[in-house]
Amino acid sequence: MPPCPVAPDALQGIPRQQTNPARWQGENWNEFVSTLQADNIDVIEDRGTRGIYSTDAGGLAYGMPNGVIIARDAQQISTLLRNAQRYHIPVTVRGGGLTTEGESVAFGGVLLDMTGMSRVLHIDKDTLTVRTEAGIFWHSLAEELRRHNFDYLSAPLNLTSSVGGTLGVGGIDVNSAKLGCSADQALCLQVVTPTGDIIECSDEQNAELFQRVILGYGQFGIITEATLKIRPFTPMRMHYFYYRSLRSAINDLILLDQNGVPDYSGILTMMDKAVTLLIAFDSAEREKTFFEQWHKQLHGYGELGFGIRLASYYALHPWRLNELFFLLRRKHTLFPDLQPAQHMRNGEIIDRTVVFSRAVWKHWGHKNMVIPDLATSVDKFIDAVEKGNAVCKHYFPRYTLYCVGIKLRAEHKAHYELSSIPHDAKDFSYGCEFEPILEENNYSRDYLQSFKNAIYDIGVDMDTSYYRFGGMMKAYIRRALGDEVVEKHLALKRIADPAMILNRNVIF
Amino acid sequence: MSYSDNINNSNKNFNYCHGCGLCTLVCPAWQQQKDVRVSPQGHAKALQYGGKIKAEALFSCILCGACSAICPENIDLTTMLLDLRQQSEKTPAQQTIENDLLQLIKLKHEQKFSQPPINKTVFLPGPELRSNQSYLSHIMQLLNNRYDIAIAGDDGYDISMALEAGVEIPAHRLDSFLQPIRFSIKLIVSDGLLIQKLHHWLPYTKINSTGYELSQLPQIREHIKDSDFYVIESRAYHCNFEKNVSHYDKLQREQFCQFNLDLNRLAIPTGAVSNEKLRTAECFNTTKQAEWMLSNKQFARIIVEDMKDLALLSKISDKPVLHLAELN
Repeated sequence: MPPCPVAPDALQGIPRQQTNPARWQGENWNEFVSTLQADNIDVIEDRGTRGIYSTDAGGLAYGMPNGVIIARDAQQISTLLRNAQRYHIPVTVRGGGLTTEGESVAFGGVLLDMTGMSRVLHIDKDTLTVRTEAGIFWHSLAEELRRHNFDYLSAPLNLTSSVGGTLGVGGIDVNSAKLGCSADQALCLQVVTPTGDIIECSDEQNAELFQRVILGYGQFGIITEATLKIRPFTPMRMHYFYYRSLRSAINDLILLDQNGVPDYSGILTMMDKAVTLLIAFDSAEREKTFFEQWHKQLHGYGELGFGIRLASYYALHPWRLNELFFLLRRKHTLFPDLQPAQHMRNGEIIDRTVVFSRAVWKHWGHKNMVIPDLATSVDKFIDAVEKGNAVCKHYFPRYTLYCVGIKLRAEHKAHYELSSIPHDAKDFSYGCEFEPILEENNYSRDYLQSFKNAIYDIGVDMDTSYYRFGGMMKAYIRRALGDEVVEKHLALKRIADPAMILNRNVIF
Repeated sequence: MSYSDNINNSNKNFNYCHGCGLCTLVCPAWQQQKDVRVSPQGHAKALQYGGKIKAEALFSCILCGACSAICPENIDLTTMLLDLRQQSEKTPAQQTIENDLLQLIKLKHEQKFSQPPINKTVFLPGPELRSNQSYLSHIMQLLNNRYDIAIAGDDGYDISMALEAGVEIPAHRLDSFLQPIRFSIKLIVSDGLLIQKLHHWLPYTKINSTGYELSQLPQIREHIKDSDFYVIESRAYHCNFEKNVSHYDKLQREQFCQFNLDLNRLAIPTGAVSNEKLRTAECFNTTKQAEWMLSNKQFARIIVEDMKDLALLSKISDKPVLHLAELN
């Protein structure tokens, strides 16, 4: 039995043996590298560089690639994939590395760093589109667009997500209930297929490839360029409403979303004790309409009203004062970061992505990002969140729930086939992330995995789906999507990627 | 001497890097090369895995300090980079620079400077302003209206250059530089890299940059127009980020000018203040960087805080470029 190429020296003095015969064990690596070098492709093999990519934002999966290639153009990637097919070398593609389940971690083989392709190629002011290389961070794209007074439609609340990575998995913003997921804004793509063909695709041209690549978890090709819709930049008018009940807040969120009231909406909680419904508007007119027609229908309180109710609760439950102190401390540190003076003008947030993303890293960032989620139809959402909340309570003293809606596009149904969109969702899908606040506590990987499994088991019981179902959570794919869908896509994958080299172990 | 032994105000080193990538996002060297190995994240993660960092990657950095300002873990990345530079194996060209700097440090140590009076505000103008007497005397005149001020005989530019080049500074030279200014009420310093270190070396002394001080003066502020593009010196700005963000935000609200700030409110540097001789042209191109800073910006004139930015931007822009002091 050969030695394991991933961590041969993990146990000192005891050679680690490869126990999974299906795993690539380093065969043909030297020939593969020599061939690429002959084509002037730099394969970086030093330990320090490989170490840069050893884990992802989740910080729970660790693996080392045998070599790293920094993406430079589609032709280079084509040559890489042709040779990877020829020599049967696994290729793992990475953008911002913001996966949480090891999807962008290479357990041997090549790690392809797409951030090397980060140029904005063209902004078309007439058609309101941008053509960009797909390794670009959304934030870098926003920097370019802002200089022309444009903005993208929607992107994850994270500065370092890449465009290509997001289009491959979906991407959710606080305006997804209005505009759909981030992948919905893609009009056409340049894709390098697993066999090295460079193909332009859209819903009109090579539609089948487009439909498999969008929300395809990197199984059917590498997105090298993307044409996206853009819009004129507008600052955001933000309002917060506070609830003591998850159910009331979710009901109000769904009410507003389904009636198309806000431009941005979501729920952010501190455990289930302080539930905040955030809604925001792109224009004064829409804001005015909300206050005239919808505000009175909401069940949330203003800050003062909620504070009085919270104080009453803890006056009657003094043994929970520690919790109150946590809430006050959290409010004291978090809320100023949600409206920092330098990002506000006349009460409007002018850089929403920056404000939210920095707050995410500052207040939720940790060496382990544990964010299991549930994606459901509207009807199942409240039950799913309440069940997930009970699991959070069982595992952690402090946690956050983040709920947001996604408008589904009927014409994009084919895109959603192997995705987090639940099979029974119509018009809207809702997602909730369950995020423990780990602070300085050190939990074992087993404990964190057990928590994730407990959340995902709710999904199995409720016959619904998940946003993060790849990598370490892929055991849930068949249970969530069913054998028929998985077998269909596996058969397509085998045709598209005969040596099964591209993003191995993410889905299949 | 390891700089971090003496001057690091953060207890966190590269081991604390979680790899969030925010430093990469804002790193001008990464933006030009699109290679994570030149970013602080790349250095930190490589070190965590026992890797060695090549001098070429380390010296691609222009030490703008944006990474330290944005790091959510508050890792003092600039100090980490300076430490790594000191420990790195220098190229022959860098070795020559190191030898020249050691000579300069020796000379400066032996030189007898006039001592600035105690209990005064002391101005460390740096070599560029010193070589331009008309600017220097005008700035002194402006600052004199506000402070009881004296010019330091020794403004420590050899120390700043040594820091940047990764050259170990002899303790006696550091002492001879700090001793005369140790009891100053306030220091006004043009060199941004030096400001960061002075905050650590003299923790109880108020220290501001020349740009910050000049832009506080009403007679300067009133001449900043809404059609101006104002270039903040990034090293000074990032080393006291929280305070500077508020200061320049207030200036923007009052005068409506544009700044060289990105969406994170980090200053986009030209890199002109960095020592180009420490790197090859492929590693970092200041002209390309300045062009990016100005691209798609509409303005009538450029206002700069730093003399090197003045020289660089005057070359590449067809609009008037003025030093802040010229506004009065």
